[in-house]
Amino acid sequence: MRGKWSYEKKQKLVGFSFILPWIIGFGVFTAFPLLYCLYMALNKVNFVTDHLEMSFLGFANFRRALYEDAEIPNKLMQTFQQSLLIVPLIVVFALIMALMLNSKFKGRSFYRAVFFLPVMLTCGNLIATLTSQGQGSIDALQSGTAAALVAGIGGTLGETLQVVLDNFLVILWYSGVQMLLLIAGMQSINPSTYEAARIDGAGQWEILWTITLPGLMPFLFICVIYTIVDQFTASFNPILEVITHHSINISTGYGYASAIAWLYFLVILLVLLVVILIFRKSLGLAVNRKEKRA
Amino acid sequence: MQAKIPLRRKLHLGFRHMLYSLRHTRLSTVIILILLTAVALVSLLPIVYVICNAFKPLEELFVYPPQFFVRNPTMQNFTDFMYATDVSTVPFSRYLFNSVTVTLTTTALTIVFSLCCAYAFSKLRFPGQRALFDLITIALMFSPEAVVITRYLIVNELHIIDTFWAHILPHLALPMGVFLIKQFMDQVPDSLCEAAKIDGANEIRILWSIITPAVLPAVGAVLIIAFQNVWGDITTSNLYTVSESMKALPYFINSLTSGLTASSVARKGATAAAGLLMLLPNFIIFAVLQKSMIETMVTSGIK
Repeated sequence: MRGKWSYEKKQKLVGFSFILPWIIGFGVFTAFPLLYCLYMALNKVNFVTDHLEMSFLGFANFRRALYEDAEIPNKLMQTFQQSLLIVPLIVVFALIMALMLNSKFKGRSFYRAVFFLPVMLTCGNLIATLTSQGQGSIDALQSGTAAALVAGIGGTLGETLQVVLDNFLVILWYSGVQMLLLIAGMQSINPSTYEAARIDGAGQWEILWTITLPGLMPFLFICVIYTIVDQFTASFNPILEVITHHSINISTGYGYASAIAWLYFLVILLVLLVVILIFRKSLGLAVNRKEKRA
Repeated sequence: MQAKIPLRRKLHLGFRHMLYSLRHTRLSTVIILILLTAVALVSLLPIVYVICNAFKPLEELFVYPPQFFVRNPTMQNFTDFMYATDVSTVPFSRYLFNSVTVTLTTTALTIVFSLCCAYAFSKLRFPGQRALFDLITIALMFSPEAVVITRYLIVNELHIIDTFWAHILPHLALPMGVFLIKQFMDQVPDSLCEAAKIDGANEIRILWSIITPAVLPAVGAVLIIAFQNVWGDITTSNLYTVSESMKALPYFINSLTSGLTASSVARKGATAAAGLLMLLPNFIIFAVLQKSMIETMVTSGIK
């Protein structure tokens, strides 16, 4: 009995020692700043030469951001809508590309390398330069046929299409990591499952829906989360510009910037919750299957 | 004596073979190839643009609307860049040294810490596990830009301002790193670890020689994310360091064109050249990872 107890205790110790270095770093440089930020959001913060001067305001900063500053709810909504459109697009695009890159054909590794290259180069500076010079969209796509097409469709659908075309390169360049993750996920599906399905007479389409996609669910979930984080925290985001602007602005102060940051944080959290709810069922199934297997 | 196959018969067979392979190259494959080529070409455009930019003479750089391709390629930008590195207050090699040291250390440590942490979350049991992981998932959503000032206060409190630690430490705990690797580890069956444990392997050994090879794609992704976080990082140099000799390469390149003096306008070319040079390590990592990562992804798989 005593041996078992000490084994369990040892297990716990091992577990803690594995996470310790990371958790310390996380606590000091992420979790604590986050909470400190929340505290500042409740105050009016002034930088005096060598220390901070704070006076407690309660939720005044939040109220001001939501009710008085016309810019903030507007920008929040704008970011929210854009991401709502871009995130599924990136994931679906990455999925299609991954499916294509995973099917057997000559020169597959060449194509994989080509799509891997942008992943390596999406270094912040490069994307920033490109978007600032209007290279995020391709001129050829906008002029001529595409423009006519968009105008022809008109309405919301046309506008959506326009957004897609405008951000084509962004979608392309920000889907690299997702492609990588999805291809890795596809490799994890047992080839014999496919064989069995083919012997049972399943077509490509059926195999895609009944084997590949369910098997990919955990990886799709990772991709969606990654894309949301990537898009919402990209530094060219309009709301982050507002936050940066306010944090160095003396009249509004850092407290106000913190309040906006936390509001923004809550919005993203809401999106995250929705995603988890959507994936809960399929992920739960995957977990159950795993437990049964174990 | 074996009769030689007559030429006519040979041709006939060859033709039959061609027809056969044509008929069996499925239409879907052809469509896939066409689509992939089209998308690949488009996705390579920005790279072509950056390369072209580096070779554009000044007057072409300032053309509005910006031209995509270079008309009269010149090496002038690189010469300008060399000149700019000569006259900088601190030797250029210092910025380079800082950047390389910081990037290598940070990326390596991030991967090690993320692997350990993810392993504990995925394969070990300890109290408070669920709650801690939920906290990490939530922290993913908070942009580093928003906590820049509170981070500064902490860096200041720790008295590591203007040291290498200020460059390295804040980057190490990358929530995305743990999240990605943990999710991949969850797909590795627990029975694999148990078998290794019965064979007498300790936790570190299990992590290093069984789990890590299985989650290499995720490790590669974290490597890329961590590298990009650090290599292009300018905030650290701007905020957490004071002396010029502790600043990194992106800061130096940015300083070339800051302000609108005559020299900074003239240095637009130097920046374009620097932009290309800054991508060199990316190309190197690409060359290294391209073979190892993409191919292991094909052969090993996860389950």
